[in-house]
Amino acid sequence: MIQRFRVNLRLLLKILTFLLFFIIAILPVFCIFLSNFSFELFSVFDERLSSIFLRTLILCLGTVALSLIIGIPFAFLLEYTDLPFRSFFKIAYLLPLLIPPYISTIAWLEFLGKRGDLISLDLPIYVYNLPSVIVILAFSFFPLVTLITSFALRNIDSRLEDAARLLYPQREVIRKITLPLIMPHIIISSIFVFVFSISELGVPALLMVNTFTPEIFAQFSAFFDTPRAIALSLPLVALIFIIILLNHLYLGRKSFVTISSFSRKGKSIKLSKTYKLIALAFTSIILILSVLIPISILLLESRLQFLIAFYEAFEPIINTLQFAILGATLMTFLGFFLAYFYRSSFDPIILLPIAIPSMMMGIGIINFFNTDMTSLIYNSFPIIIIGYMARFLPFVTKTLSPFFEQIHPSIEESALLSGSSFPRILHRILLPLMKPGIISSWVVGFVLSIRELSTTLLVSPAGLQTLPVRIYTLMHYGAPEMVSSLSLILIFLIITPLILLLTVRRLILKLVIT
Amino acid sequence: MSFIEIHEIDKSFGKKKVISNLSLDVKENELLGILGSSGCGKTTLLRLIAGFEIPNKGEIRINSDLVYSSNNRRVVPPEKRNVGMVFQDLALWPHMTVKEHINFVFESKNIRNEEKIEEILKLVNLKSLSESYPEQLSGGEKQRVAIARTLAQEPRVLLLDEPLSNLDQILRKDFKNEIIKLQKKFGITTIYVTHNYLELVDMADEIAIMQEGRIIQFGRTEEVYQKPKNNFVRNILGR
Repeated sequence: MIQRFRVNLRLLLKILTFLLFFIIAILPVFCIFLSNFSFELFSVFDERLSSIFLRTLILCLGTVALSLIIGIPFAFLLEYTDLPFRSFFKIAYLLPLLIPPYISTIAWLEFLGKRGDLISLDLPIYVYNLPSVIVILAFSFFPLVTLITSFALRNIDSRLEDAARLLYPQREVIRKITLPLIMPHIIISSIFVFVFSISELGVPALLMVNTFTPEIFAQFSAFFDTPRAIALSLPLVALIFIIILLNHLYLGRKSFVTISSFSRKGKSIKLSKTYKLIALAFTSIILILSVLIPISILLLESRLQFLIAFYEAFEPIINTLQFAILGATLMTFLGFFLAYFYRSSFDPIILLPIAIPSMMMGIGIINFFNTDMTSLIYNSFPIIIIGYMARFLPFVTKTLSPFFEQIHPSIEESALLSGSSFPRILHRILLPLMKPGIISSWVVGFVLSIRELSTTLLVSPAGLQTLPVRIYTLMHYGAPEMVSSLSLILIFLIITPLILLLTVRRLILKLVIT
Repeated sequence: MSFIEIHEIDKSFGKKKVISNLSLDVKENELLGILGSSGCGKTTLLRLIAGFEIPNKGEIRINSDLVYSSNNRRVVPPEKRNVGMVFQDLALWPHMTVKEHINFVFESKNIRNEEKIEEILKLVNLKSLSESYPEQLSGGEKQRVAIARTLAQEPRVLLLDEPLSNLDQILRKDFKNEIIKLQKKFGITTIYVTHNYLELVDMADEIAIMQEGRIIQFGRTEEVYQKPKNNFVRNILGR
C-alpha cells in the first residue's frame, strides 16, 4: 500500500508539472494560432509586411553575427590566454547583460543628442537606423555567447586538441578541432541571441526602426488586429522552429563536450606583448562602450535626482521588485520539477516557448485569460507573472538541467533502496545537492523578469505598472533626468540582489568547507 | 645510440616543482617503460617531450635535433617534432569519421592520397567502417583508429600515456600485441608510461622508475627487476 502511494505522488507531481508548464507557456499561443488560423492570413502578407519581415530578419541575423564576432574571441581570451586582468574580465564581461538594451539606447540617444545628431561634434551621425539597433543589441547580448562558449571551452577534453597539436600549429588546431567541438554551443547561443533580438521592443521602437515587434505592438494595441499580427509572426516562428529542429538533429547525432576530467586547468597560451595589448584593448573597449559610457551618461543626465525619481515612481519600483522575486521563485520551483522529471527527453517541448516572440506570447496570454472564469488573474498582477513565466521558464529549466545531470542516478537509487520516500529524497538529497543550481536559475529568472518590457507592456492590467514600462512610457514624453534616474534605479535593482546572493553563496561555501 | 636525449630538465607549475633535474636517454628502436605512481610527473615528462609543455631549463634532443634548449632559447613546436602519441582514452575526434581521422593526418603533411588512406585502413582492418564516427565504434575498433592515426603520421618517436588503463582484459591484450607489432615492424623509438609493471613485462627493453619528479632507478628491464634499489622500487614492481 505504502509503496503504491509513493509512486503515485511522484507521478502526480510529474503530471502536474507538465500541465502547469503547458497551460502557462504553450496553450495560450497554441489557442490563438488555432482560432485565428486560416489561409486568408497569407493574403494579409502584403508588400509592407514583407519589408518588415525582411528588416526583422536582417536585424536578427546581424545581431547574431556581431554577437558571435565579439563573444567568441572574448571567450577564447578568457579561457585560452593569459589576458591581463583575466579574473576581473571573467566577471565584468557579464555586466552588459545586466543593463537592459533599451536603457543603453536611452543613454546613447541622450549622449548623441535628442535628434540623434552628435551635438557637440556636429558630426552627421544619424543613429535612427537598423545598424544602430544591431550594434546596441549585439553589445548587450554578446555575453550570452561568451557565457555559453566559455563553458564549453572550459570543459573540452584538452587531449583532443593535443592529439591534433602533434600535427598542426595552434591556430589551425583551434580552427579544425576546437571550433567544431564547441559548434553546438555556438549554435545554441546564436538561437538565444536570435530569439531575444526578435522579441526586443524597446530598442527598435526608440530608434524608430519598424521591425516585427514594434509593428505588432502597434497593430495590436492600436487596432486590435490579431490576424495581422499572427500573419506577421508565422514566418518567424517557423524559422526558429526550423533552427531548433535542425540543431536538435545535429546534436542528436553527435555531442562533443562532455564534462571531462581532462579539461584545460589553467593551461593558457602565452600571448606576445603586442597581442596582449591588442587583446586588452579589445576587451576594454567592448566593456567601455557597453557599460561604462551608458552608465556615465545616465549618471550625468540624471542630475542625481534619484530621490525625486524614487518617490515619483515608488509604486512601479515596488511592483517590479515584488513581481520579479515572485516570478523568479515560481519559475525556479516549476523549472526544478520540469528539469527533474523531463531531464533531456522533452528537450524540444521545453524549448518550444523560446520560439515564440514576446508579442505573440502577450497576445496569446491576453486572449486565453480574458474570460469570466479567469478575470481574477486577468485583472491583476498574476497575469504579469504568467507573462514572465511563459517567456522565461525554458531558460530557468535549461539552467537547472546540467546540475541534475551531475547527480548520478545511483545516489537517488541508493536512497530508494534504503527505503526513503520521494518527499524525503527531495528534501534530504536533491535539494541540498541542487542548491547551487537553484540559486543560479533563480538569478537567471530574476534578471530576465525584472527587465521584461514587451510582454508586460501588453498584458499589464490598467493601473499596474512595472519600472521598465514606466521608463518606456516616460521616454516618449521627454524628462531626461527622470528617465535616467529611473534607468539607474532599475540597473541598481538588477545588480544588488545578484551581489547579495553571490556573497551569501560564498559565505555558505565557506561555512561548508571550514 | 641514443635517439631521445633528455638533459637536466626542470619543470614547475606555479610553485610546484613537477620535474627536477631529470636526465634520460632512450636508445634507437627500443621501448622504454616509465613506471611511477600517479602524480610522480611521468605524464608531464611525456608532454615535455611532445612539446605541449615547455621546461624551465635543460635540453631535449630527438634524433640529435635540438627540440628544446634553455641556453639557446630554442623551442620547436609540437607539430615540427614529428612525435606520435596514443592517449589514455584514445582522444579520438568526435566530429570526424574514421577516414577523416586519417585524412586529417595526411593533410597536415600536404599529402592527398586516397590509396594511402585505403592502405592504412586495410592494415588495421577498418575499411568497412571508414565512414563511422567514434561513438558508433566498439572499444577495440576505437583503439585501431587511434593506432591508424598514429601510423599515418609515420612518427620518429611514439609516446604512450597509460594506453591500457581504461580497457578490459581482452582488449588490453589485443592492444598490447598491436603496439608491439607496430613498434618492431617500424622500429619506432617508444616511451610507454604506466603505473602497472605487468603492462611492461615482455615489452620494455629498459625501465625507468620515477618518484617525485626524479628518476630513481634506470636500467635493462630484467636488471631492474632483479636488483631493485630500494623498497619503493620493490613495491612498484610488485615484488
